[in-house]
Formats: sequence, C-alpha cells, structure tokens
Amino acid sequence: MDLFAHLATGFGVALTPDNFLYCLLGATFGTLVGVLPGIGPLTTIAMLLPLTFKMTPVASLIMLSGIYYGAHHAGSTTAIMLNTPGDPSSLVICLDGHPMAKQGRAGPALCIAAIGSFFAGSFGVLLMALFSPPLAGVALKFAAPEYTSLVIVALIATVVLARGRFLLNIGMSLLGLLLGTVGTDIESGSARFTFDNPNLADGINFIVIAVGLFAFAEMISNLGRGRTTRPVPAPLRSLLPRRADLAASWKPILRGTILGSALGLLPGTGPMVSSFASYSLERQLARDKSRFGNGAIEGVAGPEAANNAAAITHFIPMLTLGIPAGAAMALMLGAMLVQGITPGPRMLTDHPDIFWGLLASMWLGNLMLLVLNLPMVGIWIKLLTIPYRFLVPAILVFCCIGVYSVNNAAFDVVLAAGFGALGYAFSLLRCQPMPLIVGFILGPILEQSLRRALLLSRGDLTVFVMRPISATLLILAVCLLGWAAFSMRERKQA
Amino acid sequence: MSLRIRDRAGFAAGLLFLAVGAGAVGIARDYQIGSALHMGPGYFPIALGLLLAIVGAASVLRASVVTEDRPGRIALRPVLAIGAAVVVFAAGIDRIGLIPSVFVSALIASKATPRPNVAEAGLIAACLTILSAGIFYYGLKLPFSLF
Repeated sequence: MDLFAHLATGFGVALTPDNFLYCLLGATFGTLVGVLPGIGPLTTIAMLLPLTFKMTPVASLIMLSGIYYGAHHAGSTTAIMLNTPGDPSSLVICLDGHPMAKQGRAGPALCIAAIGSFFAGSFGVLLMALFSPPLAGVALKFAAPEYTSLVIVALIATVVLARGRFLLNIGMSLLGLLLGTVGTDIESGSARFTFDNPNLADGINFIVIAVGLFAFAEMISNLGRGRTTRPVPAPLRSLLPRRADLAASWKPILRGTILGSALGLLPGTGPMVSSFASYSLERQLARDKSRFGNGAIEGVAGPEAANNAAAITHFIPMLTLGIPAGAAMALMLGAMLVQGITPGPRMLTDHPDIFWGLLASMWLGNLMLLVLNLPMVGIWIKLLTIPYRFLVPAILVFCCIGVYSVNNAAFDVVLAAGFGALGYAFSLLRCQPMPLIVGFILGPILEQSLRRALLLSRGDLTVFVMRPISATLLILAVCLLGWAAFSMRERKQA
Repeated sequence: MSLRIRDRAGFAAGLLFLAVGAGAVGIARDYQIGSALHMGPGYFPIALGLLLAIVGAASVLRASVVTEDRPGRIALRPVLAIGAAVVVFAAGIDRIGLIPSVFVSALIASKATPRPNVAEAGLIAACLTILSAGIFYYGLKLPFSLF
C-alpha cells in the first residue's frame, strides 16, 4: 500500500541521527518552556524561530513542531501540580487535576494525562497520514477563484470561532490583512505604506510581528499582573494509576481524542476550545456531576486527550491547504516560507520527504514525551519554582537577538518593540492577537488569488459563485456568519 | 438614548480601528486603484481600510449601548522598562556590539520586575551576556561584532 511506503520514507527521514536529535531537542525544549512560568508555546516558537533558519527545512520543522506539541503536553503538568496552566489549552485541566493532586493523587493524574496525550497524539498522526493525501488531491484542483473563497472561509472561521468579541475579532483580522499589504506590491512594483523607509520595502517580517505581539506583549502582561509569588507544588507519591482510574479514563480519552481531532481541523478553535468542549462533554455524560471540580479523573483524561489530538490535527489544514488554523500554525507557516517551502497541496508531491518526515517525527516525539515526562517529572517540578524575574531578561535578550539576526536590521528590533506595546494595548482592550497574525499570513495570498481570479474572469465577480467548489465554500462562510449572529442573539437573551 | 460610553475597551479598540482604517485609505488614495479586472496596488488596501473603518465605527457606536467590563489598567513600569530595554539593544547592536548591548539591555529588563535587586540583576545580565556570546557568536557564528 502507498501509505506504508510513505510512512517508511517518513521514518527514514525522521530517524536520521540529526533529525532524531532535533526532534528530541524540540520535544524537550517544548516541555521545558511548557513548565516554565510565563512562557507559552507561541513565545517559544517566536523566540527560537531565527535559530532554525540555518537548519535544513525538515530539521527546523521537526524541531519547531516538537516545541509546539511538547509545550502542550507539559502545560498539564503545571496545571495539575500548581493549579497554573502552562498554556491556555490546559486551563481546564486545573479544575480536576489540581484537586486530585491535593488529595495526594497527583501521580495517577499525571500518568493518565500522559497516556491520554500519547494515545490522542498517535491517533492525530494516523488521521493526518490517512487524510492529508486525499485532501491535498482535492486542493490540487483549486484554481484562483477556489483559493480566494477558501482563504475567505478560513478568515471568517477564524473570526467567528476565536475567543473574544466578534466585532473586535473582525477588526483584528482586517488589521492583519492590512499589515500584510505593507511593502512593495509584487505586480505593479509600487511601494505601499512604506513611508519611504527602505527597511519596509520588503514588507514587515512576520517574526517582528510574532515576537512583538506574542513574546513581548505576553511578558508585559505577565509583569503587569504581578505574577510573582509561586504556589507550592502538591506532593507527589506514586505515579501509577489504580485499576479503577484506568477503567474510568479510557472512554473519556477516546471521546476526547475524537472531539479534539475534529475541532483541531477548524480554523480558530484548536487545542483550547477542544479541551473545554471535552470537559463539558464529560460533565454532561457523568452520572454524578458533583464529582467534577473535586478531582474527577475523567475531567483530566478527556480534555488532555482532546487538546493533544487537536494540537496534531491543527497541522493538517496548514500543510495540505496552506491555511493556518491558529496563531501557532501561522508561525509555522511563516517559518516554512522563510525556508523557501510553500505549504499547500503541492508540498506532498514536491517535498514528500518533508511532509512524511515531519509526520513520522511527530509520532516519535509523542513517544519520547511519554518516556521522558513521567520519569523526569521531578525535574520539571523543580523548574516550576524558577522565579519569573530571572526569565524576563533572558526572554528579552534572546528575542532581540533573534529578531535582529533575521535581516541584521536594528530597525526590525525597534519595530518589534512597537508591536509589543501594541500587543499589550490589545490585551488591555481584550482584542485577540490570533486573527491578526492569521490575517497577516493570509493577506498576500488572498490579494494575489483575488487578482488572478478576476483577471481570468475578465473582472466578472460572479466567477466566485458560478464555480461549484468556490460557491460551496462561500455558502459555508455565510453559514458561519449566520451562526455567529444567531449565537450572539442567544447570548443577549440569556 | 444617551451617548455615554459604557464599554470603554470596545470604544478604544473601535477608535483605533477607525483611525488606522481611515489613515490607510488616506495614504492609499495616492496608489492606483485600477478596476476589478486589473486591480492596481491601491484596490486591496483601500477596500481593507474602508472595511476596517466601518468595523471601527460600529464598535464605537456599540460601546454606547452595551456594558462590558472595563479595560485593564496599564502597568506603566513593565511597558517602559521592556520597551527601553529593546530599544537600547537596537540602538547598541550596530554601534557598540553584542556584549555591551546584551548586558545593558538585560539590566534594564530586570527593572521591569517588581522589587529589582541590583546585584542579582547584574549577575543575571553577566550570565546572559556570556551565554549569548557563546551561543550566537561562537556557536551559530552569526555575523555580530562582539564590541
């Protein structure tokens, strides 16, 4: 079968000593930052991106994705032990994970979380292997009008499904699209919004925006909130779960995996929404709802599986369609573009080694996390107690060096500081940065395919509704908007 | 209907969008718009700018109808310290080189934390300087000058 040949290629790539090392490095690093207070996966990816430019494309992708899912795994550790989520997607793990830890059952909670994560991660990888080739096959038939409609659907889904207020999300998305137009227009060669500054002639580098909006802004918000006192970790006795724990967990893990895999595919939802959805599903299904919030193991198993399944299936639209489903994927897409690889349907045929190598490395990485995390949990917990004030100068300096080294331009560093201030303002005004970064990445693609589509149709706008795939996509977009309007009215009445 | 601002966060964000949208249209007016068939460089930015201005205006109007929670308070100290540390790094890197820039920048960044301790900050800055010179200059051989 084709699949096995592909997987063999993939493991061949992922198991070369270099790539294996980068996978291990990425997963370990991801875990490290996942447990460190105040550094989320986005900050880490933004901070370490410039380091990967000198690597081969496969190696850099393997390492970056290792950081991403590693951080997702580790987020639950801090949630269980300290009641502080390492990243937003493990917020719900706190609800039952920490009560379990307080009852002296931190070990089983961590263990079930790790098993659930591994199962969900493996399932996600399997889905990716099975469905990416057909999806890319469909996408290969897309011409400019279909691509335009696809990007529009993705943008609308991002805006509708992202956290935060609908209207503000639209504004953020448009702002991102507008930022994407800065620089020299490819077709006419005329400069746009450059203010005669040669540093802006090639547009704003996405790393500048990423570091500013995520790393710097997050740091300022953390400091502003004054998160200085660290809670004391719960005691850790035996790691092994009881038989009853396993019996109670396998169904939630299964349900969480399926739910997470589906939600991970949608733009704007991703790991965080998945873990919330799984938690409320488990609560609905439970016979005794009062156990939830007081250390119900289902409340750890389900969400943790959902969030890790979604973290993997999140990659599918980015790799096969070139559409990032969230902020982290927008960063990964940017990293690939810097390496000269355009993700999309052609990637599977043009760079099969990269696609299958990355896929195989994801499974290996998940296996490593299972093996690494449980025995080393003591070390990770020690790291939790590092004060944030030690980390601030370190994050700042590494970000500055990273941004500078992209173009050796001090201007970029200043610009990143500006985006940091802007990002902090956004967080005060409760505007989500995610639609902005997705808009920024998709903006140039939207403009180009729109131009090309209208050139082909001789300026006839009906081209978008006359072609069946494009029309279907646009109907989907309208449905999403309708649903958003409907749920807003519901909320007002409630 | 009174025009009291009830949702200050939405109001401020709306104003920001309105200003950026209007500004973008103002600047992009000078670019060729073209037609749908041959879109000029101005077509897409002007369309986006207009939409952004409309969304901004809608958000401003909505702010007088809906009551939401207040925007967060600005924490001035971290904004200034982090901003200054980044700008100092940018100003220094091409002129005085990696080692002094990193050291000074890390010192200033420590000021962002509550109750900064000079001796501790100096120690952290020194460690970071050695570490970054080791990783980026000697390890990755990035084109920096050390001094």
